Amino acid sequence: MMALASDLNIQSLAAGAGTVEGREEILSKALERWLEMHHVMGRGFFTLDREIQIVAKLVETSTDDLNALFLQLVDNAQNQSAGMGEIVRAASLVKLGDETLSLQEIITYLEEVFSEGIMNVLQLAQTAMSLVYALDDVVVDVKEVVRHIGQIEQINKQTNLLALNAKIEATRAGDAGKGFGVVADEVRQLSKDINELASTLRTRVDAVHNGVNEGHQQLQSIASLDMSGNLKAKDRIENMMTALVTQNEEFQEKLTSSAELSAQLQRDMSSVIMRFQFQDKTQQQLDGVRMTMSVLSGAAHDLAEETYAGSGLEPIEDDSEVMERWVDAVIKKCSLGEMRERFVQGMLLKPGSTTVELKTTISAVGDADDDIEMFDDTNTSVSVVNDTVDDDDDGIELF
Amino acid sequence: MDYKIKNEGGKAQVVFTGDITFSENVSFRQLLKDISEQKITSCNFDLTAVDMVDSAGLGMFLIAREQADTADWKLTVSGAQGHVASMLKLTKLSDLLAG
Repeated sequence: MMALASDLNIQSLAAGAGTVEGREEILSKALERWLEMHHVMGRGFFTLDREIQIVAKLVETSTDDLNALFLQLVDNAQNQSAGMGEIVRAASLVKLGDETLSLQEIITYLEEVFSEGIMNVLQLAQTAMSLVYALDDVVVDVKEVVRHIGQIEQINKQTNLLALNAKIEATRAGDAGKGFGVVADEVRQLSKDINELASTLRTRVDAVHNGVNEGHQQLQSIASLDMSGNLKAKDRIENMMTALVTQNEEFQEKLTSSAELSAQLQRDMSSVIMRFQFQDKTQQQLDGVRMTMSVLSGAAHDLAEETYAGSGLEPIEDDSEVMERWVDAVIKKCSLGEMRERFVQGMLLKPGSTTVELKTTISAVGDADDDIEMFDDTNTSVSVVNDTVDDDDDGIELF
Repeated sequence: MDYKIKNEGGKAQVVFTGDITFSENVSFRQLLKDISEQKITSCNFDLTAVDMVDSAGLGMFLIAREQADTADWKLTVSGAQGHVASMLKLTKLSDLLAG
């Protein structure tokens, strides 16, 4: 009001205020300012309406984008949750061809194989010791055979001596002992053959004895196994398997926890998507603002029409100095660059202009050609075309 | 390896000392012979003082068990510690020859 009073330049007119002419001049000046203000306000409403549409579109588009992104996130979370569930199931199983084994089954199998190996070693040791004892018995028998061979040799030696004595006696008997001498020779030859046979037997029995001794040693190497290594290996395998099972259980526990987190994330994101419905309410509120502006603008337009008709004032052709100051004041309040640019375009609309093309620069807003009729004024008609706002079918007509 | 046999009413107790390995097979066979000459219903090998047993020693235990089955008496082991106890457990003889 102070600015309006100043713009009316009342002080300079005050001198004539006491007269009818003076009052008419003040009134005429006031009507002129009102019409100028109407023009500037019209451009302001027009520009604000465009901004509201851009903001509404930006909210809508951004909400849609966020919605799509969150839906994608929900989908990904579902897949992740399902994947983790699959990992949890697969973590404790090993596939071998057509067979699927659990870790516990593998451990049981390994223990059985290891125990079987140990039992085989034990069985081998028992058999080897049985053979050792059997060979010991053979050695005893061989020693007995050797002793018998010695007895044979001793007997043979005596036989040979007897044959030799018989030969001597036969020689001493002369012709009468010739036949007996032949027998003595045969007995000596027989003794010699027996001696050779005994010698051969001793050689063979010695070979058997050596073979038995060698077998005894071989069996010792078979039977005498220090199983400390197996003992340690069994302990180590058991420890490794226990660690593997424990690790697998921890792994499953963490995966299960992670899957639960994914499911929770999925629920949270679904909740977020539901809350995106605020966009509908925002749109309704902005529509309400535009409607109010439309009503106010229409009322001002009607009043301006009446003013022109009643006062006989000429339509405004160019911006007056006062109008330029008001426009400057509005533009200076715009700090956002792209918004300021649009305000410059909208607020600097010349009174005689009929059409202006406003192009928004907000990239998030889609193409549009809604051809919103803003000014239905005989002097100033503004039509916005080819801007980047989507179709507007809200039925709100400004000016 | 040394051993002492106590027979109380047909229940023999054999107390071993030293290691039971292959080199003791002759002594062990003598032990089996000594036992077979006694009239017993059971025999327990006390391994408390045994420090080492190898697979041959375990094989000899099994031969003793065969002899027990044949002669109808029961063989048990007791007192095994450390390495000996582990070997008996590894080969499951601790179960087979449990008292």
